[in-house]
Amino acid sequence: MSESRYTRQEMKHFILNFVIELVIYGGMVTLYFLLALRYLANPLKHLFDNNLTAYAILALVLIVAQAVVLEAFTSALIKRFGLKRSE
Amino acid sequence: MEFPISEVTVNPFYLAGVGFLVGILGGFFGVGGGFIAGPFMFLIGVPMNFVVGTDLAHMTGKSIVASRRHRVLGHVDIKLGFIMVIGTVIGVEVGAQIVEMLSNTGRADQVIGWVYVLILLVIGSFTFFESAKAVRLIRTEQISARDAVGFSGLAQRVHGVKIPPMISFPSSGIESISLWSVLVVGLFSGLLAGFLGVGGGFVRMPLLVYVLGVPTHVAIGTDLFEIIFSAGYGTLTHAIKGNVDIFMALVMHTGAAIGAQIGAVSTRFFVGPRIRMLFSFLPFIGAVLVALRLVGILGGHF
Repeated sequence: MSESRYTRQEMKHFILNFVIELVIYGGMVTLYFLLALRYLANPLKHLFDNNLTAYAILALVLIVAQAVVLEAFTSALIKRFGLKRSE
Repeated sequence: MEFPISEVTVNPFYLAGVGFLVGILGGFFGVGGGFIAGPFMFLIGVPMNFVVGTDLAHMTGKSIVASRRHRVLGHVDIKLGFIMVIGTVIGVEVGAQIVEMLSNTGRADQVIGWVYVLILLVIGSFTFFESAKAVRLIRTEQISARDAVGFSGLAQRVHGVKIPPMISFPSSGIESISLWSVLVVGLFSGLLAGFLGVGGGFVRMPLLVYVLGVPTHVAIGTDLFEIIFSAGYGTLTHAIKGNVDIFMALVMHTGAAIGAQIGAVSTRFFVGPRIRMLFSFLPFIGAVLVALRLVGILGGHF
C-alpha cells in the first residue's frame, strides 16, 4: 500500500498482462451490450411501458451481470490461456 | 443511435467515453463520480430524470468492478463496509426527510445547492492542506508514507471513545473502536448523501481517513464496496419510477469498467497523501459545476 518500486522487467510484465486482460474484458463488455441491445431491446421496452417493477429488477440484474459474470469469465479465459492476472 | 427506453438519440461513443473518465476517477479516488457524469450527460440532451437514474445504474456496475479489483489488492474492509451501510441507509432516510421538510418552504433547491457547494469547498480545502502537510512530513521527518496523515487528532479522539460494544477491523489496522463511532460516521455520510441527493463517496472517503483513521487505500476500496449497495438500491428505486435507461447504462459501463480497473490498479503506484492531494481537486470541480447550475449557466435542476 505504498509507492511501489518495480524493476523494469516486472513493470513490463505487469503492464502487458493488464493490457491483455483489459482487451479481453473490454471486448466482452461491448459484445454483451450489443447482444443485450439485439435481443432484449423490445422485451425491455415492453416491460418499461407495462411493468416497471419487473423492468427495475431486470435492469439491475443486467448491470450486475455485466460486471460480475464477465469479470469471472475474463479470469477463466486468462487462466485457460495460461496468462497471469495483473494483481 | 436512438436508445429504445428513453427514446433519446445520443452518440454511444460519447457515453462510453464519459463512463471511461468517471471510471478512472472512481477506481482511483473511490467516488461514484455522479457530479461529473451528470452534467456531461445532461449537456448532450439526456433528460434530467434519466441522467440521475442511469448514472446510478452504471455506478453500480463500475463499483463492483473497481471494488473487486481493490479487494484483490487488499484495499477493502468488508466488515467495516457492511457496518457503514447500516448507518448510511438510516442517514439517507433522515436526509431525505429534511429535504421533504425544506421542499414545503419552496426554496429547497437553492438551500441544498449552496450547502452542497459549501461542503464541497470545505472538504476540498481541508483535504488539500492536510495532504500537503502529510507530504511535507514524509519529506522532512522520514515518517512512513503509508501512515502519514497531516491531521490525525480527530481519529485518535474517536479511537479513545470506549462505548461498548468495541469492535476491531484488522483489514484497516484498527485494533479497537466503538461500534457506535462507525455507525455515526455512516449515518453522517448517509445524511449528507440523502440531503444533497448524491452518492456521498466524496464525503465518505475523507471521513473514513480522518475520523476513523482508515488508511487511504482501504478507505477508497471500502467506499467503493459501500457504493455498490447505495447505488444498487438507488438504481432499483429510480428504475421503478421509470428513470433508468438500462441500455445507456450498459454503454456507459463498457467504458467505466475499463476505466475503473485502470484507476484501481493505479493506486498501487501512489502513497496515501498523494492520492488525497489529487482527490482534493475533485470537490472543487464539483462545487463549480453545482454553482454554475444554481446561477442558471448550466441547465437542469439541482
